[in-house]
Amino acid sequence: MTPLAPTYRSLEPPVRLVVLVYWSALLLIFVYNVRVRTRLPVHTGLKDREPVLLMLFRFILTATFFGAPYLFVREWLGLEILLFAVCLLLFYPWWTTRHIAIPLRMPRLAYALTAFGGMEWWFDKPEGPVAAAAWCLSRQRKATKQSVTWAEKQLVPSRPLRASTVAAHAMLAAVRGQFSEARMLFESMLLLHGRTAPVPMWRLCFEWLATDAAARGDWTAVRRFAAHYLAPRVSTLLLLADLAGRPPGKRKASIVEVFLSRLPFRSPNLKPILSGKPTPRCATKELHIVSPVSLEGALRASLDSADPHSASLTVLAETWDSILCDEHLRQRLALRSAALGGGDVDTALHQLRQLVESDLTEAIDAVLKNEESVSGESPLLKSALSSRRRRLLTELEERMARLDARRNKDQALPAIDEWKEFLAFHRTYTSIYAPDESPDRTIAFNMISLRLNSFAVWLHSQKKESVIANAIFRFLLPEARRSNSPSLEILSRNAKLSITDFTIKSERHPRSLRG
Amino acid sequence: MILPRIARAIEENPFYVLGVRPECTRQEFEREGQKLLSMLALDLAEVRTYNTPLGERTRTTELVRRSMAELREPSRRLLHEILAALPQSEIHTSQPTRPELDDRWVNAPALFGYGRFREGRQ
Amino acid sequence: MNDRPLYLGIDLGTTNSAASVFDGSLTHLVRTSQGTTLTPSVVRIDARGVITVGTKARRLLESDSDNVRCEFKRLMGTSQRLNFRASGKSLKPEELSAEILKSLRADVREQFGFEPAHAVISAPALFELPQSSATSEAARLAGFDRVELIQEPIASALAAGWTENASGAWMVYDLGGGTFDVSLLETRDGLLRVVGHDGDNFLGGRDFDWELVDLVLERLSSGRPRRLLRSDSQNAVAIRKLKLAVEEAKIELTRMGCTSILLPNLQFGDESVDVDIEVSREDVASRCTALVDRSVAVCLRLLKAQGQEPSKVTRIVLVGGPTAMPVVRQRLSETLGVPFAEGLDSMTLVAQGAALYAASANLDARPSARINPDKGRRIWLQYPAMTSDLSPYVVGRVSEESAPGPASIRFEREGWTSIETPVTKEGTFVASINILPHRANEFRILGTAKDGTDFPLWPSAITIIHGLSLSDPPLSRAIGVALASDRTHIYLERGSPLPARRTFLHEAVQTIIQGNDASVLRIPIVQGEFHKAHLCRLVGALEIRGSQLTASIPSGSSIEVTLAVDRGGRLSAQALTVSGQVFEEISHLLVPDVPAEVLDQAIRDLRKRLSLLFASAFRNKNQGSENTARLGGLELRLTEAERDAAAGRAGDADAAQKARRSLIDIDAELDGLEQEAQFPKLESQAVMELSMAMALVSIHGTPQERRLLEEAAASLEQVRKSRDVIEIQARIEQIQALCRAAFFRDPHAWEQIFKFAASRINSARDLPLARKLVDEGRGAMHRGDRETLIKCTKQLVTLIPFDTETRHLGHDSGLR
Repeated sequence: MTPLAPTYRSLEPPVRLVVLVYWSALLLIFVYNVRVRTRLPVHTGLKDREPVLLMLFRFILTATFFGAPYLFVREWLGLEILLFAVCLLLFYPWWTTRHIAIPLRMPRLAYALTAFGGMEWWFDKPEGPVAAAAWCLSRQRKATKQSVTWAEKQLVPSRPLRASTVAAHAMLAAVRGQFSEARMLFESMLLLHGRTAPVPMWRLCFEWLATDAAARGDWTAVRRFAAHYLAPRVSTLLLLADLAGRPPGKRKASIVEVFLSRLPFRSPNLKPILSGKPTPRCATKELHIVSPVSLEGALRASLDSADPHSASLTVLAETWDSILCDEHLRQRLALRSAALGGGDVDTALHQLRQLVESDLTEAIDAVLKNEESVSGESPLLKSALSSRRRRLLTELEERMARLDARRNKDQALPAIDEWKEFLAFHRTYTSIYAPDESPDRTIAFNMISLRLNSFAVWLHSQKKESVIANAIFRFLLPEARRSNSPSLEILSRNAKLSITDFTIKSERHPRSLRG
Repeated sequence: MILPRIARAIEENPFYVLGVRPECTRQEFEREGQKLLSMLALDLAEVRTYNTPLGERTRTTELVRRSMAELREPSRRLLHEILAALPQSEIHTSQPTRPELDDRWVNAPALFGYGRFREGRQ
Repeated sequence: MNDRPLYLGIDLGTTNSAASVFDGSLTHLVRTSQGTTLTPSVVRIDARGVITVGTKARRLLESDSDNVRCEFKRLMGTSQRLNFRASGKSLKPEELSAEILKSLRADVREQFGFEPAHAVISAPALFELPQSSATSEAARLAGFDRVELIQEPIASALAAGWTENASGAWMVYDLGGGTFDVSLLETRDGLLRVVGHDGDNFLGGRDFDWELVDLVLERLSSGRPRRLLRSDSQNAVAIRKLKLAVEEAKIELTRMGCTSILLPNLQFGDESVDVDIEVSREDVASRCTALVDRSVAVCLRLLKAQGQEPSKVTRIVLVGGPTAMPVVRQRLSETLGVPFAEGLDSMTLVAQGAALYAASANLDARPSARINPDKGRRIWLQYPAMTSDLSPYVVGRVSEESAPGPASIRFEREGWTSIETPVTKEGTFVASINILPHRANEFRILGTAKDGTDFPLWPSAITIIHGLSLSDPPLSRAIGVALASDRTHIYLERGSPLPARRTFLHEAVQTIIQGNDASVLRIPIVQGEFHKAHLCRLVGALEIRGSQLTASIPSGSSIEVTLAVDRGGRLSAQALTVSGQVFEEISHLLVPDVPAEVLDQAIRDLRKRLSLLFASAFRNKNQGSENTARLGGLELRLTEAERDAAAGRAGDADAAQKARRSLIDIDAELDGLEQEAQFPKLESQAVMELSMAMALVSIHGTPQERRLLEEAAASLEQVRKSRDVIEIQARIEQIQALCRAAFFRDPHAWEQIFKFAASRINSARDLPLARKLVDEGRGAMHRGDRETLIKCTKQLVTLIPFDTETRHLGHDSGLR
């Protein structure tokens, strides 16, 4: 007999049940945290080096867990519960926030618990607590204006940006109902360095994005988020990735599956993510145009509800080319013009052409977003591509000029706005090129590379916005490699120097960057 | 695929708005337009909507006025005659069918603790 | 007058105002208490504060100039106030216009027995929005309940075309006291349509008067030690008297070939001068032909914009007193060759047209009649009060009451009865009626109950006038929003039929923080056709202030902006934020004042630019003569603007405004010429870049780059034809980028740059260091040490000042 056995047996059955539940709960919490903590993202290079103090605290807690039965035997039940609660708050505040405050939808409690969060949130206060509070608010049926305002007010605009800042703003946007903005901000976190937010924040980001994509039916995005190198390998994301790999129509998980996925025992199934197989997509409708092509046929094709993709775009453009050059149509219009006593046929056809071309330009955007390429001999399509390119390059130049002007005047925006400006710039830049290799990308890069580098150096050196600067360098680096640019070395150096050990040394800038 | 500007130009085609043939005379569309303006001013139910190849649309005073002005300019009228080639009664679905909408898992955010998914969240 | 509706039209002119009432058949001019049809737009306020308007006030213009004000129409919409010394009052231009309108209202009451509550008031077609807004305000101050504005050329056209059956294109040439408007119209199948219009807000009879004043002053100054100047404030009283005399002489010269200007003892400062000068028609012609030519240029511009030739215009309607001048008629005949429409009173045509327009808009001048329930069941009717259609529709709705309404309705006039039109369950009916041509048709409205008995209705009669139908009035100038990049986003194009409304989405370029009053987002509303916003006129601004927000608006958020203009030209604007807040208040709807120093500086800057362009034009043999002619024209206008600015400095606010507007127009034209002048240089640069790029890309470029270069070369040909500066600059950048990309693939690229830089060593800022780098670089080149070579080259390039062309060769921008 062990020292424990007679003690346990001496207890009344109801009390035994309580003790059993208590031990099981402690064990589950311990195992859960160990498993999650050690389940690091693949290929991140993130090293979760626990500070010494934190390790000590965990040891004390572990001792407490296993010392509990002894204390319990001495019937210090109340003290034990109190100690347990204190340990939980002290050592696992985020767990408490996540599993108690947030489900209870208590934003101020969530804020306080996260703010209390010790080492984990050391560099992310008040952003982390605000994100937690906003999470509570997003789960309420209708968040009150006062609570939203209170949460917004906790943010400090003058603090340099970190990934947590973006997460906080994204959650607040979701609370306000601005979901496209929330989505944009969460997605933008993927451009930031992994060390600029604690792991729970990354988990929040990826889970929000993946569940949002699943709710919209965008399973390619679900797979992309779950497979991202910054995404923690948690069961929830793995389940979603698994669902993305299933055929269309079978992509809903039951409540039981969801519940089981949230337990720490399920093994991560990395196969769906790492297999490289494309996400099965729903069948798309092909555009069908009856020949010989007529005006009515072209109009019908323009109203057809087929999905936008490259082949149908080409067909449509060629159809309109033939209509606009059709001599019969021109003759018909000339007769009508005479009957009306005026009216320039060329003007009318030109206006029609402009309408079609503008529409084709937007259709090109939609096709390129689906990661297809656009090409063809159609004059309308070429013209649309050309005007789209010009428009985007002009827009890029204008955005760059605005950044230059602010740098020259030494005018920085609040951190989150500075980030949004860069995101708008990034969006324009990435819109310019097609998935296949295109010299447009080189043109765009040559146009902005050094100026953007100078801007980022200014942000880092003068405005202490190292995280944004680092994101800019890391954005420029692959582009420089691709273009075989002479500025590759400078960018590489700047990327390395702009970000140091963020857990401890984030405020130091030991070496200057090259502009 | 839907070309939005072409679709809009068809939806707001003056001939459909005024309910006249593309070959109509000026007097015909002026008279019809005047009648529609009067009926709209008195909120007569029978003229609140009009048919287009993209379905029924709401007719407003501004739309009627604009349509009359467009048909008075011969060059603009030619363009609208081109775009009125489809019969009003021929209906096309204006909203593209999006198969991914059938494949959504709408409860995902709620089940994973991120609040209820709301339409218009797109 | 019987119980028919009466429609009031008012021409609020710079020099004279007039009013006319249309009874459905004829227009009747409103007479003043003196029996005249014109009321001079002059206001006097004496020491007791008594206000006198019209001829009586005009008589005292010379003797009591401190308390009499005239020609304030051109100041409408500005913040300028006019002072009356004796009473100490300071009134805005719209307040003075209100006095004129009050006087006209009184005349109508006197003549027609009712005080009008509604009217149509004319405004120049190119009146800016603040000016239109001020006119509406003047009407409100005068006691009108509701007014609509009509553009003067449309009013004239309506009056001129009212009695005509002819169709075709014709022109209205309206030269008033202060403004000039020209409109191209078309009548077809009874529909009057304004095809387009143009004008000059600062060209009018007043300018002809000033030219003659300058002529007299020049003649008086000859032989005198001191020149007599208009801008000299000491001469202000004398100038005023001289101007009045010159006006009279100008009018006399329409009847005779020669006249004298006699003004004894005219005091110019300390000097007393006897003015006895003969002025002939030839003198007037020599001084004023340039002004007439300005108006002709506007006419030709309008015709060109509409793709018309003068030969296609069937007739010109002359409107305004100055059109009676022989020089005007003669010059118009010579240049345009279009016959004049005869038999029209050019002084009151606009007022008559305004009254006709009031009829077409069904704007009865009489105060709204009281509802008398005893008269019958109320019906609401919609019908065209004036139409060219002989079978218009009348649409009606019977008011809802507990008792059942009529089962059918018919219309009766003398000699005709309509069929019984059934009334629907909702109480509505649509009836087609026949009207007699070219007259007012009165119809009785008769209801029939289910049982066949009469069902009384109210109103029991309507009047429909057969005449011209009017298309919606066009917007005179494009209206849009100025963007942060100094571009104009046009909402409503020039010529858009009114009323009009457009909505666009924009992006906020800055964050507006909630609760912060200093955080403001301005949405400037501009009027004009220029792509650059600073060249357009700012007519108002919507401001989104942080203190009014319920939630912050982050940078990049969408803001939905709607601009709307009603038939009278009144602007309304609305901004809708992402959070659903709406902002509607437009601030600063005033024509901006411009201090004299700002005008002077602007003139100096423009002179400098003009002289540079002249130099460039003389150098350019191919297009030199064409450009110098254009520049010559601009120089004349600049000189004129200088004169106006000088007059503005002397206290003539109107002249200052005219100078401001002229300078903006000159600035825009110089902008265009400067861009054109750049083109040849850019063209040769493009050719050079292309040849260099072709050599490099053919050797080191990828297939895609070669393809793109071919496309760039093809589009460059098109751009060279179009002479578009922005496009050619974009092509050059594109070619340069391709060139750079290919160049750096050349394994010897760095060597080439190094050699080039080394050859320029003598111009290095730091010669010893440059020499050291050259030596080091050469050594590295021999050793094959690429890293060191690149390092030395980069440093060397920073020491050498390249000009624009050689910078490109050195690819400097890629290294710094």
